[in-house]
Amino acid sequence: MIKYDWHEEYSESFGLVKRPVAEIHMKDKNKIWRAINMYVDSGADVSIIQNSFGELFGHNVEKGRKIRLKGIGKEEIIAYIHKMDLLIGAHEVNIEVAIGENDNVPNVLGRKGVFNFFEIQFKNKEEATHFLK
Amino acid sequence: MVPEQKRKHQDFEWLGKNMHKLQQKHAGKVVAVVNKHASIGKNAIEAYKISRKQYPDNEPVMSAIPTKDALLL
Repeated sequence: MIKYDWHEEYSESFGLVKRPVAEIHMKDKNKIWRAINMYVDSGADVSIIQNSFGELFGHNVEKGRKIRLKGIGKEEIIAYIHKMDLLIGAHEVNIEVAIGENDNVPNVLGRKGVFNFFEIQFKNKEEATHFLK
Repeated sequence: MVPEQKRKHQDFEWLGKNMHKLQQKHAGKVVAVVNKHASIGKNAIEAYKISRKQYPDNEPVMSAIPTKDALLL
């Protein structure tokens, strides 16, 4: 089992809050594993990273398949789908990750390719997220 | 766990305890952490470059620093 303790962050609405964050490694275009923190979000259809992370990892962002994402509000996010290798604990998965057209998105680990690979448990009392294979 | 993996995990945990402090000055930017030392940039590319200049042999653990008004929905 892989366990990630929730991270303490500040919210102007709620003060200090704990959020589920995972330590993810993404293989860049030079086959180097880059470490990135991502929110674990069971409500997100797909994983997404900021544009500058995508560029840093060597992706020609706009070469990906263009998609439109919408959250709760009306605002639309344009992003581009790329196939990427992710290392979560000792497990390597090849999944579709959206790269935002700008940096106005959080880095999020969504369901596609991840939640069907792991059993993911949000442990509120423990303030940790468990990834079970 | 090999030493570099252990170091990265410790930096991940350090971020978990210190992100709210980084938010006070650097909300909306990106942080790259090596050995609990935070390099801040306006985006991932800049933060990475600053970190690698100081720690050429270590891959940083990177994170976007959330704005204080950000809520995850």
